[in-house]
Amino acid sequence: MIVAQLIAARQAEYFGTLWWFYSVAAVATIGLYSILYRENKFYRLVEHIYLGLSAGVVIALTWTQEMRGIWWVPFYDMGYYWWIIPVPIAMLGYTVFSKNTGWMSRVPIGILLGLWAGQRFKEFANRWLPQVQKTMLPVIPNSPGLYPGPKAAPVDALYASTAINNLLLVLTTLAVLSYFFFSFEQKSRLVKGSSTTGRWLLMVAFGAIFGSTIMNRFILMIDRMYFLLIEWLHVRPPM
Amino acid sequence: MATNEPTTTIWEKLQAIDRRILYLILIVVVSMFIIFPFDLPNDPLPQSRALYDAVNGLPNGSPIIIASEWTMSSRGENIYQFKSLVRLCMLKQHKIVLMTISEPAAVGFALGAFQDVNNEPGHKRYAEGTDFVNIGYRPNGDAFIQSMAADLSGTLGQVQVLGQPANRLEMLKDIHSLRDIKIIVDVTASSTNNSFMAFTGGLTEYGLMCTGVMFPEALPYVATGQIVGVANGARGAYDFETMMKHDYPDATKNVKGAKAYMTPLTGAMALLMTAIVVGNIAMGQARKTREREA
Repeated sequence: MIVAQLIAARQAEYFGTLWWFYSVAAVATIGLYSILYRENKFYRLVEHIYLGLSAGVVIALTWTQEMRGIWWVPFYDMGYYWWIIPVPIAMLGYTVFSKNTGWMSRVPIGILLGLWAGQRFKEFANRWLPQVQKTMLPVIPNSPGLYPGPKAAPVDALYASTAINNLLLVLTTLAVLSYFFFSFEQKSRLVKGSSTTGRWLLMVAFGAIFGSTIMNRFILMIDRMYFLLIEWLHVRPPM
Repeated sequence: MATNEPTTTIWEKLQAIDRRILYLILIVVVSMFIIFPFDLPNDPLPQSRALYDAVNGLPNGSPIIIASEWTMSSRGENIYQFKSLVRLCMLKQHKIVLMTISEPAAVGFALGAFQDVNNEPGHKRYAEGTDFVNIGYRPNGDAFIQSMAADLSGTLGQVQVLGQPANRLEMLKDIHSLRDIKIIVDVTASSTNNSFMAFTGGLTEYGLMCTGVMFPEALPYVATGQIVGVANGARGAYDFETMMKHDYPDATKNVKGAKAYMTPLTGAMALLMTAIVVGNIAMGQARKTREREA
């Protein structure tokens, strides 16, 4: 009790009337982390409060941030009455709950799928074609020396160092692609070796992704610890 | 009375440590480094530097779009990225268009962090409508970005800001197409980068400030020039802060940011690596002991 009073006094000193706001956030953080010790009622309580709040906030935000400004105001306040047309089409989505009229739910789904499929054409062109293009790299050097010298090199100059990098990239791409050849049995030693190399290279890439993920997941934990120790308890001034 | 129960070696005990003890050690190590931080040398990653140079190298007052696609679940990774980017833009007096396509809650987080930076000393105070504009959450991000790419002025005209269409604001009156925007920077914890790359390619520069999960997957796009530069989680934010401390020492001397996370992160990583090494040695030794006993 004495500790709680000390914390409350310290919070009031720093945050004024907002001290309870920070304290609720801190208690919720501790509650959610209490699962690390074991399953407990405090964790369940905080979890259910969080889920309820999230559901409520999403409903409120869907109206305030989406429907109201983007659809309701133009439709009702500005007189764009024909903006009512999408509403019955969208409502057809709810017919999925009926056996007799369930087929009608395919109408909005079909429209959305059509839009999505159309968008993917453009995505392929803009996102993947440059990747394919930049994989087709020259691998035979056309300039003497390993690196460019102090003078500005010609635009099309290819030194040995760059050629080696390009060769590595091309070989890696081919090896990884060969791993995904499933349309025929991989009997040839060349294809088998390439496929195995591709698998190992994929492992290296996944390892790099996993390492980066771990590092940054630690940051999320550190952020909460920082909140508890520095922003809530003020054990030292922020840096 | 003698028993025939097999004895447990220290190596086996090491492998069977209760996970709660490991959590406790982690909490103690992180708390210690949070309470007693120290300066660590930082050499910014080339990808962070490329993004920093792309924003910092623009002429003062350039129009840029900042897409803020993060909320509480990735605050640790994204908040200081967002703040350092906004701070740099304010120091350069860039005109900022804030937007969100991933989730409605991101708008509030973006505005809160934006105002925090706006209240800092060392740069001009930004006013809505003249220096920045928030066009809020736009659902169906792919369609909205395509609309921006086709007719930016017309798309902004459908957004009401301060009681008028956004394209009539003084700061946006000369913005007609996405080509007039110097760069789009996406501060994100979701896959919105794919949408921006897919539908704005070739019209303007695109930079990414993402979480650690996304960073390795973004690197091929940096190699092809589809992304001008990437900041990797809190480390990327710290890179930005380091470069800004060098370029704008007076304006950033009291900035509080991702630096505070770097010492505990280093401690946590050292603990993790120690645990991996010790665990592997213990596993090897335990196997040897079992083989000897067999």
